[in-house]
Amino acid sequence: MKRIIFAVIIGIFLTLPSWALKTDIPKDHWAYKSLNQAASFEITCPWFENAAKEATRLNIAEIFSKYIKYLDKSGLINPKPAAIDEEYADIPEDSPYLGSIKRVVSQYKIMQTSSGNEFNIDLNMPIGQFAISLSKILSLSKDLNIDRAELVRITKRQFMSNFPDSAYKRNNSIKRYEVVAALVKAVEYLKEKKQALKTEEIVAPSNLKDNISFGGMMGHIYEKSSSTSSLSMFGGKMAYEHPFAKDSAVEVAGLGCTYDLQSITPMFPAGVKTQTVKESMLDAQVSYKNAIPFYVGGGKLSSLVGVRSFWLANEAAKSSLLGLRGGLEYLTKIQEKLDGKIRLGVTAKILGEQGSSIIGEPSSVVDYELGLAYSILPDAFLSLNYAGDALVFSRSFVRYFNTLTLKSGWKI
Amino acid sequence: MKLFLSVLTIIVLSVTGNAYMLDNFEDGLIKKDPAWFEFDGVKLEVCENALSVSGFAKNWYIGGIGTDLAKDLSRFKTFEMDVYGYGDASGKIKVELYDDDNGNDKIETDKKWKPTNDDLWTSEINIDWYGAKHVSIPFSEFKCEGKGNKIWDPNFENNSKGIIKLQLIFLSSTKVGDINCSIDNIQFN
Repeated sequence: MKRIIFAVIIGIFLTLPSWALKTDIPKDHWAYKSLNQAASFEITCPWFENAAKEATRLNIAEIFSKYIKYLDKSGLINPKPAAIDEEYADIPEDSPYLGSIKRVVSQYKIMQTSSGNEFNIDLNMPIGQFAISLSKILSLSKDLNIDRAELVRITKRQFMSNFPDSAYKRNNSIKRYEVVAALVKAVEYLKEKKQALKTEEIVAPSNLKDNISFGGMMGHIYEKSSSTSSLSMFGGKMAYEHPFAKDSAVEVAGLGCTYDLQSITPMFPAGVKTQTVKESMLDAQVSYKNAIPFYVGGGKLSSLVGVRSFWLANEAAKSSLLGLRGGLEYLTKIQEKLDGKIRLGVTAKILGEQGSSIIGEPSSVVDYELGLAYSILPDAFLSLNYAGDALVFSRSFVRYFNTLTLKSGWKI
Repeated sequence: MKLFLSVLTIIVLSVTGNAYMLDNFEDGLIKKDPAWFEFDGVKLEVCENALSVSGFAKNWYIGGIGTDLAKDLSRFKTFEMDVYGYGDASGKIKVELYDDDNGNDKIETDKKWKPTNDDLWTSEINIDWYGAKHVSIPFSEFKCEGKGNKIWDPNFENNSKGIIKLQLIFLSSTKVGDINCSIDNIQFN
């Protein structure tokens, strides 16, 4: 018995993918990908097998109904209350399609009936009229504040762009695969807009408050070429950001830490010399942040320009660097209260000071940071950041400072 | 000061005084001021102070709306309204003005609803634009389809009640298709 159940389960798994791909559209056709993607948007229909045919009004009502359900479930549209029960002259009360037709005609008013309240299931739909119907669905979106006529234009240009021009001119009947392709593109558009809005919230005018944060950090130092390292490094960080407008801000950040730096030097003819010194580091940077006006994967990208100074000192010597820093910052909203951050920067030396044998002359710094910030209150957050600096010395060795920081921040 | 007021009055009258606003739908009503009647498959809704029109055609024709006028329109030169369209698949509007020529305050029609003793002046609007557009059709561009005197005489002479009815007929832009438009500020100017 167990074997039979197992065989049935295996059978189901084997047949599912083959059903999803069963269509008369060749794999190299522009709409083939869309037919596959439709499955992930829960808008597949049994008629995908004959996707090259012209779509009837019933086909369109059926897929629109599924589409609206999916958009509603995904939080992409505002649902409308169920309409008063309506009868259609040409649809029997026990028709399996009655629910779909009611949804698109009475509840959402996406499609219309002719005189005598006939739905006309077998008639086709001209391409231009499909664009208007799809734009009516898009106008239900929570995230699009676009004029209805402009939505028709967007629908034609962006979701129906693969259609041959002559099809528009002659107002041909829309084909099934064209319906699916347009719907898939429209979902992607809605999701992109929703994500963009979420990201805009990060820099929304209501969030334009001064931002201050303090935190504790721990980390370690590693030098690949000189056998110098420090297992434990402790310190503190602070940052202050003052936004000028939605898209720009000035940021001042500082860091101070201390550690025991251990260097192992090979001795001639044999043996090693181990030297341990207590070292401290101070790091300060001032940056001007400006948003780059396009979205990458739904997040917001900003450019950073500023200056950075680095100061290292131990019992024997000290070393410093003042450099010009440029970088990029990417902010994205992961969930309602969770923001993600990625930062990359490069500092090139303007001034540098020679150090002792342990500390050479720093020539440049590459910094990188990954962060997560969780809003605990509307104006307070906790953030966890993994950050690192690759400090390049003129003696061509690199010292890596890798730190983990827990910060608490407030908008003031 | 008096001169200024006089000039201002003339300007205001010249801009607004001549127009006869039939309906701007700001009262949100279809059946009152004026009372519009609808026929066949047309569906109406007053939305954002405009009349939203929808419907589906199996063979071009969807339906229409109309209102009784009985107005002397001889001092006006154009029929005007604002139409909000959704591109070239929005549909068409046929404007019909019924001119009482036999002076009985009635329009006698044949089986195809064509007047048998009066004039029917028509003009067609092909909605192929996106967004709102002010449409102005001079009466001189209206075509006569009726069987009256075939003269544009929208006045009360010879017991005539002038233009006694206005109808807007809605057609699909394709043989099978919808009408999707909104109309507003229906007026004579």
